[in-house]
Amino acid sequence: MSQSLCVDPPTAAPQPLSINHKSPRRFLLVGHSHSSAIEAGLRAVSPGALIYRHIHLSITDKYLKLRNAGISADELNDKTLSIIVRELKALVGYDGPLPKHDVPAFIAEHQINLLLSVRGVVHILSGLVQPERPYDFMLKDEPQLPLDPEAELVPFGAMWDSYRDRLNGTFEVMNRIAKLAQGNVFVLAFPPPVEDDTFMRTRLGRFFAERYAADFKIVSASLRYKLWRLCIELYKQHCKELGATFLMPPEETMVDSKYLHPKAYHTDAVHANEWFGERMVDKVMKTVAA
Amino acid sequence: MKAITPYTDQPSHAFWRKAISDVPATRVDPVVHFDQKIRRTDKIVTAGSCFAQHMARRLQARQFCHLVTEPAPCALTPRVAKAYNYGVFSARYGNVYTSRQLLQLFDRAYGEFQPAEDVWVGEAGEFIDPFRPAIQSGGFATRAEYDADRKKHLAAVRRAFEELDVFVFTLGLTECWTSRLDGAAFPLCPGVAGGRFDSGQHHLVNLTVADVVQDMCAFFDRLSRVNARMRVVLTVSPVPLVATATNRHVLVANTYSKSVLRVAADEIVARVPAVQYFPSFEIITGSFNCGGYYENDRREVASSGVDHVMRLFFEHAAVDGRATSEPVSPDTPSAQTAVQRRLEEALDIVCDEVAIERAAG
Repeated sequence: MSQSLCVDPPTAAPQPLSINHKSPRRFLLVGHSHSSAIEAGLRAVSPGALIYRHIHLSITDKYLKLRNAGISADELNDKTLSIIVRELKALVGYDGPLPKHDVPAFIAEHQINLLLSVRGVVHILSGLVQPERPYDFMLKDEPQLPLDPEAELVPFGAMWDSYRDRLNGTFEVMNRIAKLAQGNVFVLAFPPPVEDDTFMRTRLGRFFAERYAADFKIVSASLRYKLWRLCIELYKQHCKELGATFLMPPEETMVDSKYLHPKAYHTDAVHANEWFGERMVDKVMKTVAA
Repeated sequence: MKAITPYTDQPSHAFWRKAISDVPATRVDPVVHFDQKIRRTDKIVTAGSCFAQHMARRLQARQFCHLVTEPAPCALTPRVAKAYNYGVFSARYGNVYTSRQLLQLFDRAYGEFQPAEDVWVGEAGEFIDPFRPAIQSGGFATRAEYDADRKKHLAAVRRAFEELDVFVFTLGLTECWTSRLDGAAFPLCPGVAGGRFDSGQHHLVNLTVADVVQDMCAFFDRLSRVNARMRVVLTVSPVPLVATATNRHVLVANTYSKSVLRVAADEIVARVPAVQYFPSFEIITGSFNCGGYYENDRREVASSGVDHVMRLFFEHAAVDGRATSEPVSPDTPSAQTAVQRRLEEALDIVCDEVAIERAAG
């Protein structure tokens, strides 16, 4: 059984409160745009194998900002947590009160798994359009990757620290959710970059040609990969600190463990499609079962 | 009849009472002459010890052309760019404390000196530049990255020397740790911020007036060969030694060090016409301010002290320093930031569309 939910969910079908280990697994998917592919993957799982609900943060954030002019990041996070609590209750058909401090026990009792697919576009922001002063960097663990001879080399440490800065807001969201749940949190990696420059250019053109000269240059596939990898490593490290399980994209969704498999291409150059989501969910199911 | 003496026609600034005792501390002005004025269009390169950083910041804030030949790459956040010493000085050389270091920086940049001890490997396998060990915490990730960054850095140093109109240099220290192998001068003692101290390999040189004068004159001679129009503002750092490696009290060692530098500065000015001395050292250390231009640790220079120095600097050394003395925030958003913002907006649209598609089922 699957349910798709954004902001104002339909009433969930009541579920028995008693634990039945043969009952479908329960998932609460929380995330931004990449979570759409994951939701498609959840939806594709045979009915009866799982129950899920989906909080699409891209929508709830905008909704909350519209409803609460001038809302601070802290207030926004608090309201998001309230929505998460509401959806946890809906996931098991529970109508009673659920104070935040009882959430960990509730999650454990009902064997709910939280799947986080939070943001995951920061590598794209600086990994799309070639800046006036092209740059490149060496990955600490893969120094053999090619470097653009025309680009200025940026120290790895400086890249790491800068992206750590840029991910602070994302990590803060993850911190709050992980603190609320205190277990059963799975952070899903965002899809690797598209290798095909033509695909990148044509699928970005619609948005970027209006904002840049028509002949804008995109960064090399190699740099796109490095930026993705850098962010992945930062997420991994943060998950370790949080005690959350970080799940990389399955190998079959990638080419050379670096780029998005063409079968996983979405209609835009940023996201992955349902095929990717299905395989990611398969990995989630196997991990949860293990 | 009043006796005529060499003091009779001396101006007010020559008399302690008229120039110091009777003048409010904030109005004391020991500059007197400063012939070669700096224009806003002049490209200014800065180097030296900590105090030179203050000068670089204030020049930038007042829209003087602080030439930065090794700017922060656009991929870095402003916080990280600063932490990695981009834009602190004209190139990413960090603090150049001694005359020996400056001379060798030039020689290294032009391939005239290749120190035997040219990289340190840290405990985590990171690579540290012995000649700028504090330039970035954690060092460089790989040897290849280290080599490439150093090459880029030395090219930026050459560009700075060749393009500058005015070189502002602050002499900082005389105590200098060097390699016994080839005399390479390190900014910090090996072992402090990388490397390992080995008394068989490293030794302390406490530069004399003659050493400093010789180093600096050699440097200016080389600089003038690549840049005939160079003009130089020389200062002595008022920041005391953080520690001495000699067998003396740090106060005594500091007095020696600053005295050597101060005397050397005058000798250099006498020998090299393009060089002028600016008395920031006297403004900060002078007894007239009763130590008020230092922070509580009696070492860090207080912003009120920097204000005094820079006010006089702009009044005397800058052609149009007074006219636009209002500081300008150095944090004005760059064109790159604007591009980034547009990108964020565009991505937001892409991501929203995905969300909307899904919501629509």
